[in-house]
Amino acid sequence: MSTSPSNSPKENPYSSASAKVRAELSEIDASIRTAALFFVTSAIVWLLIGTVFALLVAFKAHEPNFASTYEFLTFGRVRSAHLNAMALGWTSNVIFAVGLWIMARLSRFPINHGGMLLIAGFFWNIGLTLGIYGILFGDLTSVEWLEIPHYATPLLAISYTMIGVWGIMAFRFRKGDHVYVSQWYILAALFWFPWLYVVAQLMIIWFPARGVVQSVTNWWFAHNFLGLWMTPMALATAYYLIPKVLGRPIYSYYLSVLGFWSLAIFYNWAGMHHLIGGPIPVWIISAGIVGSVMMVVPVIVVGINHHMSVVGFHKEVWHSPTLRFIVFGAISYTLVSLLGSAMALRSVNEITHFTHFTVGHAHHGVYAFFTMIMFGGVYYMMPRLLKREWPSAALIKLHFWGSAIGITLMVVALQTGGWIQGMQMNNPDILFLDIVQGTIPWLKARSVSGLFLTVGHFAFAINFFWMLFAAGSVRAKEGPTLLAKIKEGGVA
Amino acid sequence: MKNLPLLFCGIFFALAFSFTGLILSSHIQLGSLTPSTETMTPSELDPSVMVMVEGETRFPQQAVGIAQQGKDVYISMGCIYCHSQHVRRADFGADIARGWGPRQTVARDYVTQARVLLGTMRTGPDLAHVGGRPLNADWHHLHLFNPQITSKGSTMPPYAFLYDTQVIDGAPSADALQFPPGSEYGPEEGYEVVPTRRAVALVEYLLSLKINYSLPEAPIQ
Amino acid sequence: MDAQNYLDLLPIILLGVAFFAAAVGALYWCAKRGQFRDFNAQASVIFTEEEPEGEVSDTFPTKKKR
Repeated sequence: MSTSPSNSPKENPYSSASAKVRAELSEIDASIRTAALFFVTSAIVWLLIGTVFALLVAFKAHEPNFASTYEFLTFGRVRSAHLNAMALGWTSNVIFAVGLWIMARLSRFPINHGGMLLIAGFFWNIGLTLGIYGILFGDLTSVEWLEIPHYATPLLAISYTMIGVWGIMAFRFRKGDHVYVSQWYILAALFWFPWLYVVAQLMIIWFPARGVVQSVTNWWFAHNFLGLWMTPMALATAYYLIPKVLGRPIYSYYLSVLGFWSLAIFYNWAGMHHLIGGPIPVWIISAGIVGSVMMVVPVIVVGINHHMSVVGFHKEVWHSPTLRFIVFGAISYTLVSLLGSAMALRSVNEITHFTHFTVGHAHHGVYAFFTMIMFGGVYYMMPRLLKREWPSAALIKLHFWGSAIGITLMVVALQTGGWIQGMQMNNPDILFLDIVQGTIPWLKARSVSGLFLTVGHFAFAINFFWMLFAAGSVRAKEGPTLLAKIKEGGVA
Repeated sequence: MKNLPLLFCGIFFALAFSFTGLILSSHIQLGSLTPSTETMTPSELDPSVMVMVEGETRFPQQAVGIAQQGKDVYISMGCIYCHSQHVRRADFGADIARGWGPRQTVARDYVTQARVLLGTMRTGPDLAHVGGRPLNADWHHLHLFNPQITSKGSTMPPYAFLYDTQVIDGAPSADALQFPPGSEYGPEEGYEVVPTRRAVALVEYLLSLKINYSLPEAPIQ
Repeated sequence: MDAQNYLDLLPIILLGVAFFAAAVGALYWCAKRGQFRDFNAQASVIFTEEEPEGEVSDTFPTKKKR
């Protein structure tokens, strides 16, 4: 396995000449440590809470009497609590942690005003907690991806504003000349999210638009939460860490420019595919289908870029916890997006719409792509923030296998069951209750997959809190930012 | 790409493109839709223009009273996460063949709704026209109290917390649920199950969901 | 929907086309300004003295102290 050739390190024009203003990575990491740790801790706590909600809804789906006496645990509410705990609790907090850390590092200067990030994070979690309580006790809006009651959303909006402004300022006052691809994605996401959120809140909740204009706005927002917030942040992480871990630049920077702009132009039209066959003008739906199919362009471009960057280095990928997760995520990105483009075609959608197939697709994207990449990001970032190694390699592997097996089982079960469900629903001779009965084995398989994921999440959380609190029992590392020098042959 | 203002421009225009094309456009096209009479007639002043027929009822009708309160219960329980409320056209899916509505629903069907609940899951059947099916209030109350009573094998959860089990005081209450004889889901001897106000409202809301009117752009065949 | 409804959309459609053209124009301006040259150096921006190019920088934690 290759290590640095000591005789001829490649000349990096950005690492020597402006050394006076460019701070060491260790200084930058130290400056953002408190804020990043706060966000990662919040993210992991919400991941566990969201996982508990997930297990509840998974069981309820095939055991309707399970925990059904209590109104605050009724299916519709717990499902919404699960979605929001994961979308706003796990997803957004881990984005703040990893995305802001990457932004700080690439801005090449220790950060200012880290306190502002902490305050914002605090309010974000308070707003979300209030919102989840509100959902469970009946104040949910029943607008998908916007269930948080109106009394909690302003807290989230204010908190986000502080974080977004910080991110833009960090970029504005960066040192050094060039802007790396990850920074474009992070900056774009930081800017797009508040626009999406404010428009959706105003036009659906606060000053509701007339009729199905609400639905068009709803799915413009909800799909762009995935496409213009989560996806860019995950891609930013992959673009930074794949070359970082391997020590070689990304395969084609030109392709990354193409990928970024084609994603920016096409993705935000795709959301209308949620309304195919629905009571809205056909041209709007067709525009959504076109956007969804055109997404093949950025997805293939990113896929080629990532694939060619790791080809020939499979051993290094396998021996790096970070890259095991990130490459799993990157491969999933290609798969889930191509499947998604296919699902937007009317003939496919006629079968898959309204079924568990869609739920499987959603988890394919949110978990197999986004979450696995962010797990990788956390595994890379934490040792550099704390200057300690992860305490247990075994727990990392348990996490990886729990997550990989769990999500694969979930997607296969839900999409097989969902496809059958859809085919049967389009046959009016098949009684609806028989269709429901037919989905039950697949829903049980989904519950089993949830158990695998839960094991993985607890392995992750245990390892994380052990690393955070038990300073004495883990080895402090040598050298400025790196773990101990990698030996020949690696470790696994 | 190093220039912040330029990067910002590109990012802004990328989202502005779909914001204009989808959100603003749909608002312009649909934002002023109003209820309409079932058919249109040529205007007396200019026969090439179609106008609503004088004196005829306009549809959809505004939901009022206890049915509107029932919609709040529907929202509070999260019914939308298993039930949709729109009927697809006849040659796209089997919605009409299943009896889920006599015609497809169109944008105008939703203009009087403060919160539109189209829904994207059919773990349970579509409800756009549930009030037009031969299911009366008694059926709905039993079904909500415990879906297994009317629909054995259903995965819908029971909403027993929307009902009160109380001692029969003299004669049974008029609105007590009529369980099938010998049903394992009925109350004990001497007890009856009555709907709370929320259950009554919810059922009234469900009964009000009917696509039993035509629209100029979507006549019932 | 008849033609009249679509005519209402014309200003919006023109605006949308203008946005698209502005986006394409911005990209063209960038290309002319030479921001799309020298990609290889731009890709190396992530490497520093502490985590230099050519070195693998992540592995599983080892069990024993050395």
